[in-house]
Amino acid sequence: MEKTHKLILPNAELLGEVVRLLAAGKEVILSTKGASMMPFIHTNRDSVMLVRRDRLQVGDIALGEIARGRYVLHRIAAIDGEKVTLRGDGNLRGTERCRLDHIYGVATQIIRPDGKTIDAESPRFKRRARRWNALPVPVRHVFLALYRRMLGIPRNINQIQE
Amino acid sequence: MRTVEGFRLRPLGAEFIVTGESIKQVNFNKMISLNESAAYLWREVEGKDFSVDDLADLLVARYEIDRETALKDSGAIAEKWIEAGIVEA
Repeated sequence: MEKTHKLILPNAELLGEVVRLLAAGKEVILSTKGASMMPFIHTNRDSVMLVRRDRLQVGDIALGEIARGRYVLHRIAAIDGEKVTLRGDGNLRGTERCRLDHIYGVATQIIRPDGKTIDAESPRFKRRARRWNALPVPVRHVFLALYRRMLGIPRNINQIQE
Repeated sequence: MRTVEGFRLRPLGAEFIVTGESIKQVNFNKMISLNESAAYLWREVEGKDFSVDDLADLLVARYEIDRETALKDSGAIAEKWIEAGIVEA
């Protein structure tokens, strides 16, 4: 059975600092690791700009602490009162849950290596993500496998830290 | 050489990192980690003009090492900083 992938961010110590900076109202730019947000965020290539948001929405790409010192950058799939469900776009199954107050920031921009930025909060981008996540699992599975091969990303890259 | 404006030293656990910072933003993409002695040098020369010789003097003043070793270490550190873009030659 396929494991749930996590978009692994740099080490927990660094993330602790990022959380403090976000709480202080700073924008934070961070590189990403892990393939769980493919095809929208490419591992080892893209960076994200994060900011703190008082209001969260389904479809936001959020930095959440899912267990003490374990952070993921995944899309908000549902908000139910104080409970948030997160899911990686590149994950065919598996979600994470965390408390609303453990969402420390959202990605406002995805930054490609050439400096090109994508507005991660734009309705257009969110619509693309919704369409992607609505595709049947086998279709996403095949597409992700091809995409990974095209980019030369080994399958097991997602499984560090599992 | 001189440290590039906008880079700041911050402690991170037992180590130190230099990040690109403005009032609004912190960029961990432009990040380089520094050990304790490199962090000491950074603090001493931040915002000033300095040479590899100056770095060596600082190392000799603080650590019990001979000047030759200090010069070698300083040269390596300066090279690393320039390569990382946090110091301009």
